[in-house]
Amino acid sequence: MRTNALSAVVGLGVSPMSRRPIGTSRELARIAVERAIADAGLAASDIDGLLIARSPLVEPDQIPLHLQNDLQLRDLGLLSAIDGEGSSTLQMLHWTTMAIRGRLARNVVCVFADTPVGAAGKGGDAYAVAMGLTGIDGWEARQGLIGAAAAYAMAARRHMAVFGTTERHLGAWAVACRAWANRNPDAFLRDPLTIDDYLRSPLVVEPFRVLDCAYPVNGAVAFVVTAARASLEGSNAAFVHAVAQGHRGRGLGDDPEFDTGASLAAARLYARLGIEGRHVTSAQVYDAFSYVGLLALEEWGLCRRGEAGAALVDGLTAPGGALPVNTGGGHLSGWYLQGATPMAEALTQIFGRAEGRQIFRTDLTLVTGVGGCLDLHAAAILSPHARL
Amino acid sequence: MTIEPGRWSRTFTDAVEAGELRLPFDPATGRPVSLHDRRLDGLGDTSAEWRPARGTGVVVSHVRFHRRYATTAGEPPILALIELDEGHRLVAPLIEIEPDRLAVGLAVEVADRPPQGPLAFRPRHDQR
Repeated sequence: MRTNALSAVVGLGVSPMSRRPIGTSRELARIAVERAIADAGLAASDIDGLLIARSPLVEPDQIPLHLQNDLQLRDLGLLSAIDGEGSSTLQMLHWTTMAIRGRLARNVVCVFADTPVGAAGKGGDAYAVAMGLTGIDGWEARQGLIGAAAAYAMAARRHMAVFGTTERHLGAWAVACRAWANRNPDAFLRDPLTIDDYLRSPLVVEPFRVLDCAYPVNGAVAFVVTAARASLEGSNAAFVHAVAQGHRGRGLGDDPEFDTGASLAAARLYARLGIEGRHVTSAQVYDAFSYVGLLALEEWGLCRRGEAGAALVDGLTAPGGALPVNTGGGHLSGWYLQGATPMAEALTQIFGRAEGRQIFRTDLTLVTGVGGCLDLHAAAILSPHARL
Repeated sequence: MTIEPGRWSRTFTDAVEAGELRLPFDPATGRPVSLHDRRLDGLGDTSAEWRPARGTGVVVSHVRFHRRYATTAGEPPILALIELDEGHRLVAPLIEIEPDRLAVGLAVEVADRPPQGPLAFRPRHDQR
């Protein structure tokens, strides 16, 4: 492997986060961007690009492109919103990297914000949407398949039937994530969790229990991307060595429940570096549900097909395991801000700010995002090293 | 955010509401066309041929609701992803079945139903 980085992420900004209303998405986005720019050691006048990602469940004007004016970012050469649902954060990194390498911009700030949790402190209703699995507009709503959990549970059950994955395998993902969250003071769910606790937790939509589901919060995450320079090494810089997308599409004869575009993206991602999934040293993956995390291990080549469940039971991804994954607790126990959560944790680790959960195998950090019902995939390989 | 159904979706759902399950086929090849594939929606040069379905298939996945959003409180608790004999996949409630008999691979058929409401399936007669 002899590659130079494509770009570098040099600042991370995280707004206050809460399970109560603390501001609009637009307000939280502004705070996160301000913090990211300051973290990068830059001024607003240094920024010449702004990309925005919103939840697919909100109207676009909740975070309009006028966010530029809120922040007084003037004379931008790049300003757009990315519509890749849970893959948007990694898609922003992809587009930004291309823009920087194409000399269309020098310092681009990317932001995701969402406020799904209302005054009652519940986030689930925000996701009471019908996800299109059939291809006919309105069909799932008419048939009663309401809620992201139901659509993903359908995919999980298919994997269980085809590969013998069990509820204990799903639970092992939740338990491993909680063990990491226990070491993260910013995680929302930190109490110790055992597999028995998991098996006693209430079923929501079988095979999913409440502990298989993400824990949504209100908040925002922003990061600053710039050109890769060797002089950045040793400072707060996460070098982007590969970035890729994979969107398989749906047709007849498919198994979109487990054969997804992630494996396409993985092939593109790893080809640039001449590596395979087994070379990845740590991973921060999108896991809106336990099954999505389990499947990620297989789709991104970190485990063989059908073997992720057993590997999880053996502690592969947990603290002390061979492959640290979702070291902040992920979406289930850390906090759910769609694809922004894995990116924030990857940067926290590579910047060396993870304190009690700090890992040292960040040389090849895989970061992933998923949109739709396993339809949209984007990922990157980040590293503290400018050259691999 | 409600999406206004396009011609392709309306063709399918109008038939269901009329009491018929019809599926798209390519008139040139005779092969089934995915419900996701709208190239033959009739706005271009060629239209799909919507043939009556046999109404039988197998369960490829299933979920059972234990909690419901307020908007769907009255829906059946078990929904399945069904692969019809023609190769198309549909999400549908599964009725007339005990939860412990639920299984991937179960042969199912369209259930008798009122004109409005979900298109439900039930275990095929020889499986009941």
